Amino acid sequence: MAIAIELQNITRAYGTVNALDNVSLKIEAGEFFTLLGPSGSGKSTLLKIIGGFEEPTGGSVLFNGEDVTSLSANQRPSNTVFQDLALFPHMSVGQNVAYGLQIQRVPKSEIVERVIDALDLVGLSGFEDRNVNLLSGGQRQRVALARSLIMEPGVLLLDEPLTGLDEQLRQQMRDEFGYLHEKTGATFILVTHNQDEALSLSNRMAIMKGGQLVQVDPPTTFFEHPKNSFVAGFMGMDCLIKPDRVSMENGSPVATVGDTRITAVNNAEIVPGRDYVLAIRPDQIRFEAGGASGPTSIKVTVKTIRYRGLFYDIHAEFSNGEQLLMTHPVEGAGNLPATGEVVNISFSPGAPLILLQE
Amino acid sequence: MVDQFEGPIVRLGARIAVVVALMIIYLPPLYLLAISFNEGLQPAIPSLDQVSIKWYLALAEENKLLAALGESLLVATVTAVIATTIAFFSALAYMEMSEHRSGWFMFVIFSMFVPGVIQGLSLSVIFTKLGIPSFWATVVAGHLLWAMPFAFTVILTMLAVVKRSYLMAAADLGASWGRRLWDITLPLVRPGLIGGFIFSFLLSLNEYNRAFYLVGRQNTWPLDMFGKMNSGASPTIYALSGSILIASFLAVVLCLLLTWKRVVKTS
Repeated sequence: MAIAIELQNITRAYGTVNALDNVSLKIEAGEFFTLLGPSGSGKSTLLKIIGGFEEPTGGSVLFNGEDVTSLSANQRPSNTVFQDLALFPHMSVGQNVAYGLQIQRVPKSEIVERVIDALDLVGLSGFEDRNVNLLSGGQRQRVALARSLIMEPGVLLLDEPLTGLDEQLRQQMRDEFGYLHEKTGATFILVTHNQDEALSLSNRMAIMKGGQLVQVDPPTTFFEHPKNSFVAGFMGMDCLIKPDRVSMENGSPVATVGDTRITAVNNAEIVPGRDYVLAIRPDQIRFEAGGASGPTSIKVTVKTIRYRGLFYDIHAEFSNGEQLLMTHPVEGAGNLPATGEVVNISFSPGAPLILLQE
Repeated sequence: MVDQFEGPIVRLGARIAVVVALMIIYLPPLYLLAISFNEGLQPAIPSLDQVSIKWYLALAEENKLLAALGESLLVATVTAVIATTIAFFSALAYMEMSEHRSGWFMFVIFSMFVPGVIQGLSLSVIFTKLGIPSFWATVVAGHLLWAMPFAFTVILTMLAVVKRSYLMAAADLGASWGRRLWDITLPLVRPGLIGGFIFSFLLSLNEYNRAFYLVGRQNTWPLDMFGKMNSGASPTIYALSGSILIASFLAVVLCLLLTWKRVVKTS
């Protein structure tokens, strides 16, 4: 695959603060790439640098192998959908969508045709004369998409465009993004802090923290092999257990939690002096049949049980007070332990992971 | 339908307060308008059979006063055009700045706080020194110091509606700086430009102190009015005031009609 965008050692400093710290990244043509991270992680700044709205203090931006670092936004073959959409309030839907083509001095008859096609693409046929200020949130989203897509950009940048929409509309627009990505074949780069969005849309994604890329991989890898506790936490692995001790035994990392020893499945190198956590997803933990006398020796005490509709949340505790969260299916409600009961647990294949504490 | 939080007594009180306030504002000029139609020489509200447009007709003969008014209209128009233009670009500069904004703001509006007599006197000294004779443009120079800061604040308020992201989006779609200014900024701040223009026009039309020092052989309208008051008021100045009042009223009605027409068209 051809490389659409290459970032080489991008740094952006504000005074003494580095918003971006030596970021290098390659994004393939036609890829749906997501920059994921908490606010302040530098993801929006990185997108602005790709779009040409901000200049990096160091490093280069390449589009299709060409250095565009010194080109401004209006000279780059990318288009952006902004967080606040930035629809021109004094123009109609049609005028908004046509604006880029007018700048390019495309003949009027062609503009009319392409506006019709662009509005059709986003499901807003016949909206040309509508006032943009009177549209619903979802419709405004679609106008912003049409205004960018009419330019037939090789790269479409999406800067948290779903912020401020309600959950149902987010789902809808998410599907829309997927559809438009397939339909146009363009490279999409999405910035978001919502991991669901990232997981469901991306071919690959990057998690950012403190101006750096923590991990760049396809979505499934993030779940199966999170690089550290920060990534695991961001992926919704809420249950991170802090062991008292970690050691290598027979080539496997073994964590000691209270009076329990747990062998991790990943081949992490344990470096003395660093802190580690055990990551286990709630759905990867099962009760052992036979209560506290079962074959494994991982014992926890049940603290609280909460009904969640599709399952039960069970909070349990190791002997040293470390918390554990597991889920239990509603169909097996008859087997639910009692609060205060000591139970034996085991893990699904692939769990638990031992991760570097970040 | 707007929800009403206040009780009937509070609402009645508020209405009475508004009516009283409006009366205080509008009664004096209305009184002036009324006496301008009085036939007699002394200022008084005319009884119905005394209503006359005699002084309005006499106004047409007042060449000196009319020439002064013409001079003032010329000065006010030129002042308003230049003040609005400078104010617009000063406001644009303000929006582009990040660190030195408040300094720039104070710098632009500072002349608002310098007493007019001092500005008038100092400009007149400088013009004399440079050998520039006093004529309408020297008055404009003085009036710019007065009107521009006000136009600046009016336009700056309006510029707040031009979000940075609009300009970024336009740039993203290929628009140069000039196109962004023409297509995005100007249409959005148009009400502010019109407001700034009218404001500076009126400030210049009324101005006395600076004009007093800077005027050439042709007086401006306020100077002539004051001169007339000193040499015994002729009722024609009431007629002139009345005409300006009526013209202002018609201008406001016209503006409202135009806005109303546009609202009807868009909705």
